[in-house]
Amino acid sequence: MRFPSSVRDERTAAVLGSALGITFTVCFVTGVVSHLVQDSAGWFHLPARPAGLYHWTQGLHIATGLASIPLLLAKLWAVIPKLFEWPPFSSVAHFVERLALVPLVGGALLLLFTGLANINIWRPWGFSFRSGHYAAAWIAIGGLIVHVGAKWSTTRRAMRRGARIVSVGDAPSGGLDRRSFLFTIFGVSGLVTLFTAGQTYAPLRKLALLAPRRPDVGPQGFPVNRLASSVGLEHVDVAAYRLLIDGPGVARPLALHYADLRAMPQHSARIPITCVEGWSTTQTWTGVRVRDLLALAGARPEASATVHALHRGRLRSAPLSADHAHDRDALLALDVNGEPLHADHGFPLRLVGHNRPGVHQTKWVGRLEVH
Amino acid sequence: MRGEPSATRGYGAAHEPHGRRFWIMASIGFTTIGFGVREYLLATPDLDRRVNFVAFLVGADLVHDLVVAPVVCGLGALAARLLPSRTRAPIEAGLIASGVVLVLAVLPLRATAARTNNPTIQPLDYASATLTVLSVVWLISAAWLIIGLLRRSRELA
Repeated sequence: MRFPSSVRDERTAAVLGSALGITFTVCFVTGVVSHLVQDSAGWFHLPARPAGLYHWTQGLHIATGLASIPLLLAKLWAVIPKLFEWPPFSSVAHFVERLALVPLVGGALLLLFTGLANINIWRPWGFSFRSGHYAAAWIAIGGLIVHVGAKWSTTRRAMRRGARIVSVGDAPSGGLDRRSFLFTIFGVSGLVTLFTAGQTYAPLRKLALLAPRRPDVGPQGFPVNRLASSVGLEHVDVAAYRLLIDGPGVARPLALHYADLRAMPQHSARIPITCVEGWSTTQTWTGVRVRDLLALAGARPEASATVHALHRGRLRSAPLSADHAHDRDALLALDVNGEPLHADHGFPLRLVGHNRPGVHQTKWVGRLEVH
Repeated sequence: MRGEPSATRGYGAAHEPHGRRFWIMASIGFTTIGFGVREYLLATPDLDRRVNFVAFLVGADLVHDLVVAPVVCGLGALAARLLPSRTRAPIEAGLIASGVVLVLAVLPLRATAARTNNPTIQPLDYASATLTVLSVVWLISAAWLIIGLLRRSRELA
């Protein structure tokens, strides 16, 4: 079988492989952080400070994932002749090296496919995205570790200036040479970033032409993941509304009216809502500090809590660790940008705080269960 | 192939010896893969879901190797045959970039989030948005082509 190209050589594979090693490692680490942060019963949580940490880690996760698409396709294109190598392996070690390509390539393709499809709310698979994407990440990174072990010396040699390069293609045939091919692939990777990063990096929002979200589009000027209509909370009766603060961690259980909350000292803070799907929007939220409410209820200074929404079913509750609960900017927000919350943003009350994934910025809060 | 490691062509020649580093990394790598499999099995007791996950993992490999790669290689060969050599590089670059743009644009173009009735997901006119991005891509390719042709004519002069 012939593969005419002057580009398919060790250096092309080494450069693209090194770039993918970096993007996949960043994507893996930030993805594991996000997975663990979302785990309500888990042992790990991001501290509330420094503010903006989760905004950056999750923004990087999606950006490096999307930027990896052209890199991975180009890398596979560069080494495709090796698929037809005969005999398929020449030693036990070579067999082990090639065996690891199945989880590496399958896992990498599955990660990029499920990631891209998930942010576009298209899930044609039958497994849980969260579990499958997380498992595929470990499987792919394991394959990557084996591959790095196998290709370490080759990569170092191929990257050296003046190295003699082994080609895996058949013959030079004009068109793109290696330099212009790599320039194209990294350029495309850059363009992908330029036209998608605006979904989380606001200064580039007008350029977010290929992103499924815009941080400035939605009720009150920013996006929504879960609509009030999907949980039957389009019209909450303010007269009947109570915020309950109870649980074993309080000395004085409270049931506060909406007007009571309005009458309390208000605090404003710029806090991002960062969705696990990669979009992010920073707004000015105003409301009652969580720590003021906990003090009013006689909670201990180290008290943590569980935040419950008014609706039933999925994503009803979220954990609130002690450092998040007592952070100066952790709010039960009544207003955003000077207006009462829109129903889709959680009217009458929304929990907001730094370094919390969007699913933990609970909307339509009805109860703080203090531990 | 019997050639030296520095041979200019061929696959077997590119293999490097597998030393201690490889076996240490292979042990760590396969343990990591095992951890991923274990995490999935613990999170997913349902057999159908397990089978579906494996089908997508292996299927991703097969779809790439049996469908995507032959189609891309075929298109590349076609471009090599049809395009004059002087214009080939920038047009190939434009085709590669356009392919990637379409990979990203296909789901918004199909309005895959429409059933959520959430107007903040895929809020743009993605046909116009995609055309805008493709215009940028082909403007860059055209600039590359023109600069290349000008350089060549200057060299000939």
